[in-house]
Amino acid sequence: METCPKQPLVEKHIKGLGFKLQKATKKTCVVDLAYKEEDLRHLLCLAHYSIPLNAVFLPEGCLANLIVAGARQGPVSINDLFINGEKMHELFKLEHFYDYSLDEQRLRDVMAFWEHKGILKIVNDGNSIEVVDSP
Amino acid sequence: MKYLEPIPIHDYLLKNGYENLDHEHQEAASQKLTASLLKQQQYASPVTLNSIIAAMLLFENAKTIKMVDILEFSDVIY
Repeated sequence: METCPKQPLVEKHIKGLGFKLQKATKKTCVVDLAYKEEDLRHLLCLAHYSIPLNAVFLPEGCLANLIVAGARQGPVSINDLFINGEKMHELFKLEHFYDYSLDEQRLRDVMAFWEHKGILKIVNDGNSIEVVDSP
Repeated sequence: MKYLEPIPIHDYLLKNGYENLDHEHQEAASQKLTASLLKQQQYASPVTLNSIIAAMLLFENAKTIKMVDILEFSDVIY
């Protein structure tokens, strides 16, 4: 499903999670994250609501882990990533990846999406990737 | 499958060709059952706007997060 969430709905969810908004209903609205640090239970609450995403985005999560681990030593070779991805796929095939086939094109599609979002940079004629440093 | 609905193991085994389950096939049958339960659990885990927002708030390291950023990223996934 692709639906653009409307700001009032998003604000309602954020307030429901206990957070305060500055300039609510305005385009310049900002969420104050101090509430997160006030009590460990607030963090646990966020973790509890985030957990369902783990099952859905596990392949992307595994791939992201491999990239982050590899990127510590410079650009990551896509070929190496695919080899390590196959090992991880083999490891989880009876738990999560039984109906998830791993092919290079699928891997490249995910990385192209991340590149489009400015998270990764594909370098070396499309053979390696670099993680873009967040500000 | 419904929430808290018991699973009739006998029916499951019959449906999957294990009517005369012997010791040799026990491991394969239990593995197949585990995989199908996990699969159903995955399909029953919907991506909700609340879970996306909670994940974004959880992983943001800054003291504040802009609403435009939340809207942009939740639009990508939701």
